[in-house]
Formats: sequence, C-alpha cells, structure tokens
Amino acid sequence: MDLIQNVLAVIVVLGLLVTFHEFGHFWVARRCGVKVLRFSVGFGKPLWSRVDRYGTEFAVAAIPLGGYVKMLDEREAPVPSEEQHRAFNRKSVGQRMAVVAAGPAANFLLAVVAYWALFVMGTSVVVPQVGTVAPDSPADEAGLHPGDELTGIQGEAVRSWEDVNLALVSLIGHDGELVIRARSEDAGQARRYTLPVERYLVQQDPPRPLKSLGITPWQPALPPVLGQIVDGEAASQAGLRAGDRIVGVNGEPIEDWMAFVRRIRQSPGETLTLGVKRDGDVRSVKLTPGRQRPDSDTRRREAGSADGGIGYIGAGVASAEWPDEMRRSIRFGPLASVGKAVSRTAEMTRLTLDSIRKMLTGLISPSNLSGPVTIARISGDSARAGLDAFVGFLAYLSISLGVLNLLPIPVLDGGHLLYQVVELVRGRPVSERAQGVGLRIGLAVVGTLMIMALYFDVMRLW
Amino acid sequence: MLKQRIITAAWLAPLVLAGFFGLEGGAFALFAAAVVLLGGWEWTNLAGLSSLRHRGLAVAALALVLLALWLTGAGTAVWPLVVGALGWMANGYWVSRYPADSTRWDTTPVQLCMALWVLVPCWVGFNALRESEPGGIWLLFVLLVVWAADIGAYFAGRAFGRRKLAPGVSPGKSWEGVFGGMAATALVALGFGVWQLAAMAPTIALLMATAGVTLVSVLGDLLESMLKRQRGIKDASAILPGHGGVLDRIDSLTAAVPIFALLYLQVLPI
Repeated sequence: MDLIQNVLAVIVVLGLLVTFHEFGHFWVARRCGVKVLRFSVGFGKPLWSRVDRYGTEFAVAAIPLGGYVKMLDEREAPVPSEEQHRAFNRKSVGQRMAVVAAGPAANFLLAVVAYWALFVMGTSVVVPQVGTVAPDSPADEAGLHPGDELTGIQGEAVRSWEDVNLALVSLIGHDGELVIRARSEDAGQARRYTLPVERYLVQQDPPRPLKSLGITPWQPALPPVLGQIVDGEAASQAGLRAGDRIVGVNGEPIEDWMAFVRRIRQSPGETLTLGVKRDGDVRSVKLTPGRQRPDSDTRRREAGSADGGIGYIGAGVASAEWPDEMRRSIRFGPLASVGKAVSRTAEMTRLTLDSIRKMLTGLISPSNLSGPVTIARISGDSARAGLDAFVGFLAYLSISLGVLNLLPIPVLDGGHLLYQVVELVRGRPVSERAQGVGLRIGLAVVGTLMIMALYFDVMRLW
Repeated sequence: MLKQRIITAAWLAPLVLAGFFGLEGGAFALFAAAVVLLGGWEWTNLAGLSSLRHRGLAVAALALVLLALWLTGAGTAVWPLVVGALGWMANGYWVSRYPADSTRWDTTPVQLCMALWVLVPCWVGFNALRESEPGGIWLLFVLLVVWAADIGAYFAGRAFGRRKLAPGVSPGKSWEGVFGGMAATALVALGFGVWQLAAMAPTIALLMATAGVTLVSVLGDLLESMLKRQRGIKDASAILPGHGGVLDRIDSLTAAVPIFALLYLQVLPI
C-alpha cells in the first residue's frame, strides 16, 4: 500500500515539477518566435499526442520521470529555408539565454507560488519548547533548561521547530559560538545563551541539528495505548486491538510508550506476558514479537541490538493530544505572504547551494545525496502527512531542481548558459569540438552523481 | 609636476590610511563606498556618458546597488566576489585580445555593466578584508602587495624590460616588469607569512595566492588603460592633482582586492 502510494506520489510530484520546468522553456521559446516541435511530458514512446495550430505536438510519453521540449534547430536536422528564421540556433544570444533560463526560473516561480499558498492558508506549528537537555551537552553547558522556548538562532528569529531546524542546518561546519535566544517558562524576557560547538554537524548522515546540541523538543507524554494494528503481525495475532492500554510486561509495570517499545525491541522471538487494560478490566495476553532487521539508522543508534535484529509487533501508538498552548498558527495576509514566499525561496536556494558547496568541500557526507527512491519515500510520507507538508516538499524539490539545473555542467541548462555567456564575451559561439568535449564530461559528471544518489538511496533502504 | 604629486600624496596618504584603518563596520563601508563612487563617476566618462545628468544618474544607481547589498547583508558576502572573479575572466579575455573583439565591449551599456562587476566586488572585498583579524591586517597586506607590485615592476622594467607585455594596451609595460613585481610581492608575502602565520603550509599557500593576485593587479591596470585608450584620454579625471583621477590610483586594487578577498574567505587556510 505504501509502495503504491510512494510511486503515485513521485509520479505526481516529479511530473508536476518537470512539466512546469519544460513549460517555462516552451513559453519563452514561443515568445521569442522559436518553433517548438514537441512538448513531451515523460520520455520514450508517446502514449497520447495532439498537434496544435502552430505545429507543436503535445505528447504524454511512457516513462514518467522527466520530459522535454524539442525546438526547431539547424544543428539537429536540416531546416527548410522558409522556416530558418524560426530555428532556435538563429536567435540572438539574449533570446537563447532567456529560453534556457526560463526552465529553472519556472521552478523558482512554482516554489514561490507554493510557499505563498502555504503562508496564506496558514500552518499550524508546534512551539519550539525544549523538552530535555542532555547532560554535558553544549546546551547544558550554556545553561538551557527544559521548558525554555527558543526564540532566536544566531540573530534570526524562530517561531517553530521548522524555523529552528532550518536555521541550524545552515550552520553546518560552524566552529566556535552558537548563539541561541530563549525565554524560560516563567520569565517574559528572552535571554542569550552561547553554545560551544566544534565542526557542527560535519559529516553527519543524516544531520541531527538538535541532538548534536543536546536538545530534544518537548513532546506530550505518550501513554502506552495502542493505535494502529498491522494485520497479520504479532500484535494482531495476539488479539491486541486499538485502544488497548499496556499496563505491564512480565509483571513489570509500564508507564509510558517508549518504555514499552524498548522492552519489545529487546525481546525478538521471546514470549512475553502483557497486562492489558481494555474497557476497564485488565487481562493477560501472550505476545511473541517478530524479528526485524534494523534499518541502518537504528543500527547506528543502538549498537547493541545489531546482530540479532530487534523485536517487532506491528502496532503503533495512539496519537497523543498536543495541548493548545504548545501550538501556534502562523498565517500572513496575501500581500505579506508574497514577500515571505520570495524570501523563503531565496533562503532555500542559498541553503541548497551551500549544501552543494559543503558536499564538495567534505563538510557534508555525500551519502546525504538523494535519488528517486528517497524522493519517492519522502513524497509518499509527506502526501500522507497532509496537504501542507506535501506542498512544502513540492516547493523544496522544485527549488532543488532549479538550482541543480543551473549548475554550470554541459547537458544541464546551466551548461548551456555557460556556453552562451562565453559566446557573449567572445562574440562567436563555442566551437562544436569544445562543446562535444564538454558534453562528454558533463554526461560523466551527471551520470556519476545519479549512480551515487541511487546507490545511497538503496543503502538507506536496508 | 613632481612637486604637485608629492603635495597631493602628503594629504592623500594620511587621509586614506586614517579612513581605511581608523574606521570600521558601517563607517568603513561608507568611506570605501565614497572612494568607489568617485571611481564610478570617472568610469561613466570612460563609458561614454557625457551629460552630467546621465553621469549623476548612473552613479546614483551604483550607490543604490551598494546600499541594497549592505541592507541585505551581502556587503561582506562571498557571492559578489564570485561575480567579480567571473567578470575579471571576461575582462582578461578582452584585454588579452585588444584591439580585436573590442566590438564586444565598446558600447556604453556593456561598459556600465562592467563597472558593476569591477567596482561593486571591489567594495565588497574592501569590507570583507577590513573585517579580517587583527584590525584589518589582510587589507593592509593587499594594499602593500599592490604597491610592491608597482614598485617592483617599475625598477625591474627599467633595468631589464625587453619583451612587451601588451603593446596594444599599454606600450610601457614589459614581462620583465611583471616578474620584478612578482618578486617584490613574494617578499611581502614571505614577511606576512613569518609575521602572521608562522607556519610552513599556510605561508606557501599565501605565496601562491600572492603570485596570482599580483598578475590580477596588473590586469586591473591594463583594463583601465584599455578603456582610456579606446576613449582617447590619458587620465580618468584631474581630481588628485599630479596623480590624475581616483580610478588611476585604484585601478590595480579594483582587481586585486576582490580576488584576494575571495581567496582569503574561501581558499586560504588563514
């Protein structure tokens, strides 16, 4: 079920982004008087197509990852002399640059629109209140306490955990002092805390910005009450139902959900006797957790449990109530949202460029590279998490696509722009031979990146 | 003439040094902006604007760009320096081919754009280097490098100058002069390496960066010569009696400062 949802979500997300990107090229090409031969959504054999009155074929093709706009061009096929003025290669450098830049520009525009919609609709966020502070961590040394509400990171105001994470992630590689402003529960005034950090988040995969400082977000206490039960797994076989409250395991009392999870994880294949409270009476239930290979994240977190696998019963926790004072709604007027959306897009662009630079200089592990598999998983997760998470992810991915396409690598839009800038400076195009060499290097670079991303994707699944 | 030159230097040098090292933060940025805008005023003439109104508008636009950068926090950011480095690649290409390809840049709009990628990154570079510790020491370094390059080039060129560097642009310059300048700046870099870095690897890196910055400073000189030659004028203005214009004084700096600032912020282990 998840798999189908993931695949559907990725087709929708990538399809939307690519179509919009190609539409940017298409629209500006039309404006510049270039004849567009085909606008295809997807690669390969057209499944459906239709020709408009300007002779452009609109097609939907079989492979849904990508798409293209094919323009009349003398370098690709001979063009009859009466149509030569409509060929791409006959247009001025400025016009050709506009056509090429329009694709990435469309992606940035889409991101602005998506963020605008999010800001106008308003999002409900969780107040960034510290839950626990790990002993001897940077947060502890600086004197932060549980219950403090974070209000600023390095001079930037924060109002939600997303703001906090965004501000922290942009500090990857930071050395020295990290300044956090926080307000304690009783005092009204925010105080300034200076956290000592060294090579902050360098080479972490995935980066854990809060954990590295020793901060965990406040969470409502999770009572050990079952929520979702997966059919056919240990919990459902033992006859457990949603709403059951676990009161003990093998006679030891269980107070909260995490304690129950720890107990289950330690006991793969072992028969446990649970005390279960249902409709007011406590009954005893025998439960034998299954054995699951831990994913790579868990393996690193819980070194001890690596070899034998971990216990698994196929049951989730009933969602806990967030008290109203821990939620806040962030919403802006339509006009104010425009500014917010543009600056959020600029911020995310900067962050993406920064991550690329940090990856090249070794501050971020290249295993953070995501390919289609991770994108599919996240699209699926965010689609399930609700419309605003999905729209936010769409905007983020659109920006990544825009930025990546602007990298000065031949094959990508940025590579074409590079050649065109050189042409502007020299007054004549880059020689076909140099373009051919560049194309091969570009293909090699992009191919390597794609294979690396896929490799890390697949590794993440285990 | 020489007397006039010395009199000007006598009030100019203390003023510049006080401005560069007595001020910091916003006040320094304002001072550097004043220097750059004076250069911009002269540049509008080189670019072929003649009416005072047009020149004033162009300089006001340049001032607005600087203000916008400052307000968005980009007044000490890396990206304007990267733009500057790319711009100097184009400048270098055009200088090396002069007078061929001059049609590419010899129009007022292109030369006004050129002012953007020459003067704006120069201002950002000044701001970024003024923040170097302690007390803007690496700004002092780049100033000394440019002066050492000038002096070394002058003496080496007079003593050994045979092979012309860029006969079409600046017939007085020779490759021997460039090498003399590089030798002089290497001494400055070695001195700063021993004094400030006191370690082998960063000093070697500084020496390599300095060699590059020296070459770039010559390019800065040549670019202004090329623009003046194309326009048929000798001095950018007469604002500094005996020295010509502000641009004539800072031409090497417009190239050396942003490039060294970029190396300082992004590459050098200092």
